[in-house]
Amino acid sequence: MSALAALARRDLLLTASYRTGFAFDLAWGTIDVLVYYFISRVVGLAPGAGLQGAPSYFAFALAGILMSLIVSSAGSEIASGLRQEQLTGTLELLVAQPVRSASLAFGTAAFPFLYALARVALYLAIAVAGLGLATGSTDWLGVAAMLVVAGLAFVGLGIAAAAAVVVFKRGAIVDAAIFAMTFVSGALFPLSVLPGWLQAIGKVMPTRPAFDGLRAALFGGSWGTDALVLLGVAALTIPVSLVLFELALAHAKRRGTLAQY
Amino acid sequence: MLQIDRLARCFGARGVLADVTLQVDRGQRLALHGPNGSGKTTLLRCLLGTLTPSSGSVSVGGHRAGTRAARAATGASLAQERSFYLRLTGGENLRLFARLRGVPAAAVDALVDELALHELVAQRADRCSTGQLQQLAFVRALLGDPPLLLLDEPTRSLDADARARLWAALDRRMDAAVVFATHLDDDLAHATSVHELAR
Repeated sequence: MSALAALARRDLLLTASYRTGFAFDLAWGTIDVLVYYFISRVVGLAPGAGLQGAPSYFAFALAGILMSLIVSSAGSEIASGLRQEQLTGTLELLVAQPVRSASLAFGTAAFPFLYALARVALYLAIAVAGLGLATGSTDWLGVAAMLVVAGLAFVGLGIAAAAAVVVFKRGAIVDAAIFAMTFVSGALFPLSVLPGWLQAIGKVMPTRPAFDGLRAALFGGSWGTDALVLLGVAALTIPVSLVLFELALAHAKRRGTLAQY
Repeated sequence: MLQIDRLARCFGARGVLADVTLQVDRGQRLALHGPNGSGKTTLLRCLLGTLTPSSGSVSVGGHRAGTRAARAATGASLAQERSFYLRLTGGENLRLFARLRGVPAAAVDALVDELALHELVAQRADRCSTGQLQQLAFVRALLGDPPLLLLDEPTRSLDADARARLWAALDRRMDAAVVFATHLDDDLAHATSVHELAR
């Protein structure tokens, strides 16, 4: 636990050391929310496009934006964090510490996830206080539960991606894969407006229950089944990805590439 | 404390180390001496467990090198200039590694006092010179008083005062087994035994 806290604190200090980037990050997210707010005010909905209980397209897209932050933080930040360690030369010394590889992986994931949660809270507050998002039927406990279980569900993918980075020293494909998954599974557009073949792909993406569940929790639906599906994904992917991560480190030690970038 | 048995390491077809057998007990200080490219750092990495030998074995306090128990017993300073979070201060870097090793923050302060590095710990690592980073790396290796110390060219970029402080600090840790790599003949005077490596 102390290793997790130490690594999270390290990432907080590193993020805070880039003050302009930190501020830009928050500002960019706010602009993103505003863009969908104004789009929602000028563009009508396609006939038959269901909004999963959301009172407006803005509310629908906002839920997608918020969940995408969580999915992306859990799914790709470990890989990019470890890639950074390779480039700066700190990975070898980190691996040489008496810390379990699982602690290393979860410790690298901890701050990005907490930071994503903080951004979600900020953008939600802006949407409620400044943009009139109705929260009369919101189940806040459900919102919190969906954000946490989504983080757990996608951290397995993130650890597997980190394992690939340790071996191949490239991580860009993870960001592309996450973007594609979120796009086709209803982050910003209802599945019903996508072509049939994309709808079929979108329906089986693990990101779909994350978006559906958060919208249900925000707009008065039932989120329990989606949370259970995500917990199942987590139970399946986390142990497998931890084994992959361990194997990747062993491979790098055998090849002598731990200190290479 | 450290047992190396018929260790060999190749990179592709190129053999870097062959048939290295050594034993280092507590209180001993072994110098790995040889020119650049003779395999000193490669051997240290094998002892640290971040590089797996092609054949042979390394045991630290009875544990295979690289296992968690062996890592807990080993303090290392390798490739210093690339192993710090450069946007953090020296102190933040040391406290991070102390936490990872389960060492209290007070131990960091004690080491900083001992090696007179107060200015350094307040400074961001990217504003430290190579020699200053090397001193930080040495302090990091000492965190938690590990019984085995692995030091890669520990005096390379140090001025005379810093070198004296380093050897004095090692002299105060007579219980530790120390393996250090060097190509400087002056350093050999501080070793209890020398293992020559050739290219």
